[in-house]
Amino acid sequence: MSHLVNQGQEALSRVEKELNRSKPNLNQAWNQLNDVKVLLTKLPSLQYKTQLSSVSKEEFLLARSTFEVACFLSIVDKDMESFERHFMQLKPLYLDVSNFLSPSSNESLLIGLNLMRLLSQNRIAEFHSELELLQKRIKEDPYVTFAIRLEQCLTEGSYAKLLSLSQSSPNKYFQYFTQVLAHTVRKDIADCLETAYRYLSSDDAMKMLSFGSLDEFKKFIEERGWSIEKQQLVFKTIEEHENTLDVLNSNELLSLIEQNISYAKELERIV
Amino acid sequence: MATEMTMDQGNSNGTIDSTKEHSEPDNILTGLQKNLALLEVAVLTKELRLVSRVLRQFTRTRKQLSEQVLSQVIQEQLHNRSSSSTALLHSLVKFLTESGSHVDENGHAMDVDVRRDEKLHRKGIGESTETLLPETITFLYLLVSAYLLDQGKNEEALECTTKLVTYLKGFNRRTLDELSARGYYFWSLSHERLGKLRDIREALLAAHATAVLRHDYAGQAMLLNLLLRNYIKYRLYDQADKLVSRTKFPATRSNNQLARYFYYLGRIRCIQLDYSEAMRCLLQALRKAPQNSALGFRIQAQKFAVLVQLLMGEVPERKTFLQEGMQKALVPYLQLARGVKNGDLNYFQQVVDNFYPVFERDGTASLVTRLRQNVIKAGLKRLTVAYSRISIEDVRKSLNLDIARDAEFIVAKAIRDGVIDAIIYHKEGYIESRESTYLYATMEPQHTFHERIRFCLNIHNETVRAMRFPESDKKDIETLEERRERLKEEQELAHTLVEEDEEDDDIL
Repeated sequence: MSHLVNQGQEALSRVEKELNRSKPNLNQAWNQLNDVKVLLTKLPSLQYKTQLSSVSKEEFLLARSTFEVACFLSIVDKDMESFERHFMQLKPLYLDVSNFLSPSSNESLLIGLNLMRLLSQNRIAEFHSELELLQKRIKEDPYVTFAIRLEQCLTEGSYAKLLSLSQSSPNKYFQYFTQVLAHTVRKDIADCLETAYRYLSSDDAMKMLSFGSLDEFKKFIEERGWSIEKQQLVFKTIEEHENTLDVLNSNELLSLIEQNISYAKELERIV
Repeated sequence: MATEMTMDQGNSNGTIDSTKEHSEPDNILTGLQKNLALLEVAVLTKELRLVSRVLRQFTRTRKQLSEQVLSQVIQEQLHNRSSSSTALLHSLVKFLTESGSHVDENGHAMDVDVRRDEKLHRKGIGESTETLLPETITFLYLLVSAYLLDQGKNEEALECTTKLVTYLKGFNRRTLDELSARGYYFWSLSHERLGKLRDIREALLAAHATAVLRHDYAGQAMLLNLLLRNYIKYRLYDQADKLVSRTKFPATRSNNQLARYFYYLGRIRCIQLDYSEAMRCLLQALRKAPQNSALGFRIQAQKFAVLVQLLMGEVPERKTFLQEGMQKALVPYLQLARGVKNGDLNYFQQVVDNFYPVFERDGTASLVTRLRQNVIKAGLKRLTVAYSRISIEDVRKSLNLDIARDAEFIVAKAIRDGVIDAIIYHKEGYIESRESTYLYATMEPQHTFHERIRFCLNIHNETVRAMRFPESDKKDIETLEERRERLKEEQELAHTLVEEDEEDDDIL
């Protein structure tokens, strides 16, 4: 079987070479990588329920580096879904066979990247369950702490700190995610502005949302449906709410009726 | 991990008690014999209640076990039985090798006793079966495994329980369910002690599937909990969550299993930031747990409950920290709560630094680090309540924040999250808190009221469901002989009921 492994490794190194070029030909790289993935299915030790043995070690290593390369390639390709898919395949290789394989040099980097992915997609719950899985050694790795620090800023609301932090990303692959994250953060800030302010000068707003150009900013305002009066953004507050305090809206009325009927039903059962 | 202590309350006292009680091993012996007799009755009458009664006494007897008693009981059971079914018991005796000499020494003296007891016990049941019941074998195995675990002989316990589990796989008897659930528990525990928990995950999953197919509710509940424990031990919260969403906790179950299930569920939910659900589960766990024992379990659940409550922005009542036996364990958490309540970041950070090893050991460290933002929020809340208008610069200073621009963002986020009700004036650089709305004019009281009503109704429904009703259709057709038989059984039952005045718990 070793010739299969060798064949895979050769193909993989070609993909890696392509990946490290300044202008990689992504289509070609994907094609080559897919060939390797097909090859992986033929390896006996990667089948379900095979016992771990010394023979399979290099096959596992090949599988691991294949998916690692696939993850990097997805980032270069800016394909978040593909990154997620490949990382999922990589995860058991990091976790379950960790005491069997020597740790990969890319492990903490990829885990950090995956955390960044969850963060930029605003999937905080999953972010935390991933975090729980990590061993202390990895948790203290700079790539991972980077993501953890960003998450803390995000939940705290220190957006300025977050944006300045994300400028100093520790690896080139992080840039894609920090860009996406910046968008998420911008949306978050916009939500906050809407509720927390009555009016705000558009200059300040632009600064807060960290827009570089006026055109972009104008487009954003249009999307949000904000109105501008005398150089100031005016946010509609929900003042009408106060007038209707003593009149319940129909939804609340309905739920009230439902609740009362359910009480009656339960009481009847008791009596 | 501290949870290990939680789940295995009995064992710390085990060794001490067994020596203390050594002076009256006869007592234990007769207790065990009664239990075994009861077990046979249970099997013959197919009365599952009796099985659980025997198991309830298990915790008490477990503390008093000694090798001498164990081997004597086993020898007794071997007596007068056909050889085919006794092979397993013979191998069981091997686990008690050290007591081999004991048996020889005392063997003769005890023989007399044994015969007398045998007679008594035959009178009790009417006729004894020639072959050993699987229930009896299982029960004896459980006793030995518990004893081995209490003695710290984990390797032997592993071997013993593995044998038991393989043996159990061949049976499909409802009367065995509760016992086999226990068997799996000890099996898992001995693996955990040896750090081999990961290896049995698949076997547990398969066993759970079998239990579901056979409507073995006791097994389902136990195995589900064991699996959750297994996952959480390796922090596989994702898998644990998926398991929960794809399985159903059986409706007929013991309260203690339910308490554990809720505890695990609560832990999963708080990792996923679903704090209100986590709180509900943890409170249920605390409520369902036995109130006068299982202290370790309650402390652990209480720790999580306190943290979750803090994360939700509520401050736990002081009396939660003053519960009997818990004060000492909850001290770090009390100080955390104090930090959050006062919104004092410096103090909070100090507490975290001081107790970090404790939190790490408790498995709560990641939750504690999440608390920081709550400290800020609590501080903000205090400020806006106290001042109707305050400059952002002052907010920044009193909350110890680094950057002025961030202070504004933090306030804005707090407003969006509904923590405070205020408006920011950016140009002027201050926050103005809004008049608090008249709460009673909103739906809020109604919602709270509804929550409570629903809770009460739920309790009522559950109590009704938990009641046991006599089967009415049985009595219609009954011959005289059957009647005599039944009366005898009832007497038997009443007898055991009298002994059972005190409900013991089976959280192990």
